[in-house]
Amino acid sequence: MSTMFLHIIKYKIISFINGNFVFNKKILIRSFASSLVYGIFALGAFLFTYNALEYVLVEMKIGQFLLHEFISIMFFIFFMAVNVGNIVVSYSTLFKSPEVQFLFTKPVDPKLIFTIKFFDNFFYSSSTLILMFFSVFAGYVIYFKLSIITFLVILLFNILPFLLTAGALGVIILMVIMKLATKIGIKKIFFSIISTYLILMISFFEFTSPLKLVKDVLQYYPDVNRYFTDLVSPIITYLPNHWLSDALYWMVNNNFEKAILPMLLQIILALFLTIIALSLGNKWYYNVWLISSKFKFSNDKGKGVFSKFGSFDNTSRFSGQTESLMKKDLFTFMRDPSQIVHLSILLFLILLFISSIPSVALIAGKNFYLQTVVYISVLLFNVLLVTALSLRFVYPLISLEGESFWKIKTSPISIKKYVKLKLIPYLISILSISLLLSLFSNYKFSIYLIILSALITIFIAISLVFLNFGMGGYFAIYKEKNPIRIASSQGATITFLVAILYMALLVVGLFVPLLRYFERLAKPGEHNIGYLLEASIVIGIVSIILSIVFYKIGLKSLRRDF
Amino acid sequence: MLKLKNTTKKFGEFTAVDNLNLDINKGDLFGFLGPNGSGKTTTIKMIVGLYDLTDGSIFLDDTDIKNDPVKTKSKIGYIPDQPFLYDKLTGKEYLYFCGGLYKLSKTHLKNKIEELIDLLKIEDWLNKRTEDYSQGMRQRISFASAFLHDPELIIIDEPMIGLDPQSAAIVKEVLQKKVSEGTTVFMSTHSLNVAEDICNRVGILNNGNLIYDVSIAELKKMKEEHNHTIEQLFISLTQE
Repeated sequence: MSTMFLHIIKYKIISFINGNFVFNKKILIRSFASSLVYGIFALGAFLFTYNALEYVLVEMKIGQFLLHEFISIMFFIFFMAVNVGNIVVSYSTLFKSPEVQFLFTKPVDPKLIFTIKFFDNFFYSSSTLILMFFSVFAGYVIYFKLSIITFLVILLFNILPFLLTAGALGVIILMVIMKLATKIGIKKIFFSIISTYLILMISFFEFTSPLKLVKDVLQYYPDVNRYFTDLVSPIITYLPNHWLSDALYWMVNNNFEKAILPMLLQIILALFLTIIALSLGNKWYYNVWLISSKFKFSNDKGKGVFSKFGSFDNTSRFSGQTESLMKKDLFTFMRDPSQIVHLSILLFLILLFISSIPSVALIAGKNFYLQTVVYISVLLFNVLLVTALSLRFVYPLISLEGESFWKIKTSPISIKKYVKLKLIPYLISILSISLLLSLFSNYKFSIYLIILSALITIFIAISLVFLNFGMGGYFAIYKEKNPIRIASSQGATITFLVAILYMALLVVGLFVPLLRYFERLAKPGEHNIGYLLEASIVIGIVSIILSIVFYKIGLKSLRRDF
Repeated sequence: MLKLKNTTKKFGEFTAVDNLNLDINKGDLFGFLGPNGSGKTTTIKMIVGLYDLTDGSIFLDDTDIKNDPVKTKSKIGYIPDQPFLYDKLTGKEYLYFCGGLYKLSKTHLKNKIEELIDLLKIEDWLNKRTEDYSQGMRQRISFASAFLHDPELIIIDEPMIGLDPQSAAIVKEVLQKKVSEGTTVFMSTHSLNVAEDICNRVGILNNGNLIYDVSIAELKKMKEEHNHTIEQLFISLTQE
């Protein structure tokens, strides 16, 4: 078995090298550009982490306990996202991949195929995350003056097992879904899983209210660095995100003995779940794979909520081409479970954000420096959500046309019209969500800031849609059918990094004008919005230029040979 | 009707189609033959607009396809060698989708689909998602989608790949019917018997160059002169 394992791995490595290390001018330029973006991002993430830590600990003086509780909350959200992403990606890797089909026709043990695909899936989805954590924790370790050994311990014994737990749990849930689906139907299972995730998210925020935590801890000011055991809900202490932040807290406080237990728990859980996942795979994989082709998310005719409204033979007020393309996209979207699951989760996160964020504005009080930071943080969070939406749904647009794209490319429709019809629904949806986000998250600020935020959000949403469209076209992978894999491919990562750089520029461009505005605001009767106006004009111009550039890149990529 | 003038396609240093000149007349059923890698699919992809030309030009009814791609594409019906369809649509939805791209009215489409259901015998699967179709079913839906707008020129890349004998017979019959109605057909094929059976003219492409352009009668005459089967003749022509 081990010889076969090594044999398959050898050829996987060869095909990876052949696919990624072909030395021609175009690929070299592309690789150089990618490395540059990665490098800038890594540096940016490092500097951001370092400065953010300095700010929250030195300027805001929130203390190490609160800092690590916030890290725990961030890692919980992150865990859920990675976990759900893994369920969908594993489905494609384990059940829909042509490689698996090929291997099943050869005398290879299904257990071995499962093991290979399990780790293949884990490393494929985690490589970008590991790169990101490397930079972020480099900033963290340097800020707290920890040793390089501690840095490696954090990465290998804290972060890696945490990611493995999220991935293995995803595969376990997938195997259980597939097994149960043969008995009670994929639809029921699917909706039960979504409900469970939503309940988990709501429950977590019931047990961990960031605002309550801030109030509770700040009561003890200036003694805010100690570990407030009583303030953490006992249920939360059983979660891997909490073990992760706990281990970090104790390492920062040079109490390595206390860091061992949470790290040990993290490693044991990761190993335990990996063993469970592999055992389930050993037991069920081949049989489930055989019947997986019968699973359907909805029935053949697609009779559902949209069928009456969208049926192709209904008459419509739109022209033939408009109607055809829009209905095709709508039907394809609605009949793809991975699109619906991710959209629901993202919309849920947005609702959660909208319901909790306005009160953050109150933290700032009368401190104009803090007001500026809170305002920019809220704006950045909005932009981050819009970035996530655009990356997840706009970036894969062209790739998802797939190999069937020949039909549109050989039809009498101009590329510009195609792009227009393709982008309008997404542009309208993302703009509406962005505006809602902007209005709900800023209504506790002054009217000028509400308008500024709305304006900037509109500009940014438009440019992010075009950025993702352009880059998605440039890096199109027509053979990949899974939108999540497309949205986590190399091109998508570069696009995300470009969006992050754009956000960094936004902060640079807005910080001083906002600071001046808040400074003036503190003085009675002074409402100078000139700075804000100038900043929004600059951001508007930059956004328009970016939109045009990426629109042209998208158009050009659609004119390439197919 | 279709004219290729010094058409050339290069991929980096490799020349896939080299200075190709061809003139296809209205009503021809042209068989485009050649061994694997001779440039047949590349030529077809240039005609239908999937590949850009490195050099030369292609005219459809005197219109340069590069100058007015939308107009020329509206006259062409293309059937690729691999009939990829939109998986999540049913066959019927897919046909309505394709009809919409050609701006066909709903009434026209409805009648046309009814007609094609009979012609290509596709009724049984029309309400199933295309992801469940076999290769033959996909191929027939692909044919139906290319016929919806009554194209003046039908371009087919390897029409018989993956088809069972029954489907292959249907396809041959349909193509002959289309030609009898005045449609021009440009078809690449590996199946020399198909070319011999239904084409009235054949072109043989080798290493990106057109080495023969003859009527089917001339091809048959050559076959008799050399006392070869059609396969033997093809091999000797492409090896020279």
